[in-house]
Amino acid sequence: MSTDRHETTAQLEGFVSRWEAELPAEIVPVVHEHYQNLVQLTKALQATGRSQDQIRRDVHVLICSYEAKILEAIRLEDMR
Amino acid sequence: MTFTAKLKANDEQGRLAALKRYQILDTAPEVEFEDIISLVKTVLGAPIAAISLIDSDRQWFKAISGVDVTQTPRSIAFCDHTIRDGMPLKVTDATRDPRFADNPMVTGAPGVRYYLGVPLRSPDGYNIGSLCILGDTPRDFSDDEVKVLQSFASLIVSQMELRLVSRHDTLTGTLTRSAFDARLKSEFESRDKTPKALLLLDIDHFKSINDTFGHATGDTALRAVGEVLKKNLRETDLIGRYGGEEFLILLRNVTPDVALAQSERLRRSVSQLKLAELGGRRLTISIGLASYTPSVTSIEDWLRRADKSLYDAKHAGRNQVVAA
Repeated sequence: MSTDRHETTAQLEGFVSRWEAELPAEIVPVVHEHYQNLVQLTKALQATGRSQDQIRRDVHVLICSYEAKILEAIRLEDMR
Repeated sequence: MTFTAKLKANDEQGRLAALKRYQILDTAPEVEFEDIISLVKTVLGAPIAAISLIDSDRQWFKAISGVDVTQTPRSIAFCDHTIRDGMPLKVTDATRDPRFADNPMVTGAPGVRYYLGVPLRSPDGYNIGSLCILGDTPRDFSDDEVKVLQSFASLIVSQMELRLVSRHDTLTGTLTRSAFDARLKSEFESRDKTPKALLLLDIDHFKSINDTFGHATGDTALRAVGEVLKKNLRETDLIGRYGGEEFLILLRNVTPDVALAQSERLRRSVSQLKLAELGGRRLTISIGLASYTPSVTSIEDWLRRADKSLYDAKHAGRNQVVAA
């Protein structure tokens, strides 16, 4: 279970570091906050006994919409 | 940045201002919030889940699942009780709770019996709404379930912050082009027949400013023009950065005469700007104005009319307003 949790957290960390270099500086703190909230949610879901597979699927759904917002922010930076 | 600010209770004006800052009320459904609501329902096994935002006299749902409603009067909103406190609100059986036993949502459809709500707190400490689950049988809640709902609530607030920054041009603070387009489309499709006008405006000789003073000064000019424009618009108007040095403005509830007068006021205000970085050189703008009329067939047609007027204003010598 511990390994699974680390995998989910690593998945989130990898996602943030992938985009961070391309983000406008003003947006980075918001992205980090959102990432921390995803990690907290993952922990809260684990405490309810939800399975790791289910949590992975949940987080994947949330990351997809998160990614869309980040891409919008990057497009905006490109326009400047 | 921290999103865990201390609750600022008893400041309703500040709370409403914090809510308005998100520019989210009365907007179309968005998949990221729908996804969260769907997950909340599944994870907590609730028939109804909602993101409720508490406006001055109503609760408006950014996302809701399990019941077909978009808003209710604030006076009957369970979530209005939630935002008054920093704590989650647990109602295990509404029919036995004197605060809610006579509530029409309890005595009638959807027959609410249990409610669990946690505040959505803005980074500056205002409870702008709540995330809640409801059901039609009595229910108790474990601490772990409350924590899950709180975690989702924090996620919603940071998602709203992301939404805000991704829709606003960080240089000028105006809407991005895609965000403006979405709002314009929604306005156009709303069948709202109140008079309105579209203004397409462009900073005159902007390329020369960049070439002469450098791009940093060009950015300063853009920021200053954006500030002046925003300052001279009403809260109900929309402004977006449409291209490099182009802005698009939607004036709501204005006759063509008023739109023309307002455009002139904007033009004059910009021409009075004094920027030390420009060494005495004046900034001016040209404006193409297109009022909405029954002959406007589409958004593209409306934009084309504003663009044609802007072209005419440029060719007539710049620093002026031309109406279609």
